[in-house]
Amino acid sequence: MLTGVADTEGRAKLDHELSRNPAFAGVVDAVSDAAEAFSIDPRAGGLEFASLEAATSVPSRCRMKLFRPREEKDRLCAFFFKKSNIAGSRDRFSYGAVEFLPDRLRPEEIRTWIAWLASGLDPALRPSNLKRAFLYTIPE
Amino acid sequence: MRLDPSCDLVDDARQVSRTRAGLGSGLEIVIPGPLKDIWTNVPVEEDFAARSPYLLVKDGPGYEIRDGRSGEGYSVRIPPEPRWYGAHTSRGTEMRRVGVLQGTYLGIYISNACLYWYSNPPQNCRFCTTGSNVGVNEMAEKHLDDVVEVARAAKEESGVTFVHFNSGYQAGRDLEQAAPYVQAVKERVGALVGVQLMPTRDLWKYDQLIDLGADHFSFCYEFHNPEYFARYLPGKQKTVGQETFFRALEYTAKLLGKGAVSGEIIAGVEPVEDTLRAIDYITSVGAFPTVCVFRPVIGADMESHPVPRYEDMRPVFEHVYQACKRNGIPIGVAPNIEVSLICQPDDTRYLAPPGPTTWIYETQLKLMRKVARPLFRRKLAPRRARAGVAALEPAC
Repeated sequence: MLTGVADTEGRAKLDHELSRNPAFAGVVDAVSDAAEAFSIDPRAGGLEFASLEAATSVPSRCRMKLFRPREEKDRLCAFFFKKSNIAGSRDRFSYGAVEFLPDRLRPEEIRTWIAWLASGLDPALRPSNLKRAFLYTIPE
Repeated sequence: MRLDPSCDLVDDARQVSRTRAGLGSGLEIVIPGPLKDIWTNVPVEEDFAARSPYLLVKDGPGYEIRDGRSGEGYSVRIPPEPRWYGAHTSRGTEMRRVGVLQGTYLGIYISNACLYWYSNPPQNCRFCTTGSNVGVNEMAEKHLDDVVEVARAAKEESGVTFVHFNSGYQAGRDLEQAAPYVQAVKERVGALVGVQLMPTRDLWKYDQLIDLGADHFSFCYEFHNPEYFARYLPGKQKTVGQETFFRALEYTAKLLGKGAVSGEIIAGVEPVEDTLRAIDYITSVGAFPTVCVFRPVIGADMESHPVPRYEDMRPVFEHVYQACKRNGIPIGVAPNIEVSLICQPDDTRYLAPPGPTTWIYETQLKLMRKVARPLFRRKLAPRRARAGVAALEPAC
């Protein structure tokens, strides 16, 4: 379930990111169909999903950010991280990223990402093709 | 440490920013004391921090740490964030993404990432998150001019005297990659320069790096017990081995003299007896031990590893002081170098046993600090290197 896209800011963000990278639509659809609840952060770079805490529906620290690392290349990236718990901190605790080509992304792969995010980034559920290190800068 | 809602870290503190190996994931604080202030980076983000008996509270304009078990409180200082953190270099790079203060020195991670992270399967050290930080919280590539500008800003605004470069595994080109940065800071800024790199079997390269201006080498061999070394440092085990660390440590300690080189180890994972053996070995070759208390950082392979106990760690640091004293290692002699990520040897003076040998050692250290002042003044001024960067390339 995807929340926060009914309001103007959320909708505008989603439309903007989908227009730049139509391949993200498959991920958006899968998140929308998921049983667990997620929201998007309209102010974050790329398209950033947060899992929502079951009890409070508040975004947790666990995030998945979709973005294009290099504008001149087709390769896209799903980056998984935890946000800092400290107010005002921009720190991000990386758990790794999956790189993919737009026309090669399979729905079952997306579902593993969603399950991992919803689990709180449980190490036992890490995607098998997760990369831990990157040569590019992740947008904030 | 837990954070009370009264804390105003946005305005009062350095931004908690995990860089380099991930160890700087905590809050920088200063613990004042009669012998010296202790700079430390305190875990606040990790799950285990939420179970800490220590609570940081803002009390009026100041801060205090309160122990929930005894009710005792101790005033601490929160060093503010330097203005230059948010400034940009001429190339438009935000300075904090090039280097940060860790205590009172400037730490810069110069390589794109440790190549152990790019192996399949990854061969990264199991406690580390370096590969996860670079490109996330830091610039993936550090331009030389950016580094010079940041070092200059840190020196002028924060009084930094020591710039520390480190990198992960660079497939044997580690010292070559560091060389331009060492030379640039020495010639264009003026500071003590330290280098923490994978060791090389080509020991002549250390002579060259010293000619370029390196004042200090640090060797992170982490675990003295060879089984733990192999288990938790698969990349280091495969590519260089523990002995290469020892040979490089011994070689550079001989070149630079007592107290200029360090062996960095982690306490709280291998048996304490092995940590004590490490401290004895490091000091026996004229180097000083820098001991990190193991921190299971978020996102690391060892994220769920138990946290060390205070009762096990205290004897380790008592031993650091005793070993330095026994081997006549100068500690706390260089000006304004406070390291927050580890317990540095002169912090352990608080654990020194009273008695004549301690008094003699402390008197010697006081004299050394006085005598060394003119030497350090010279080293802190920009000066031309004795060699060029090309000297690190072999002649044949």
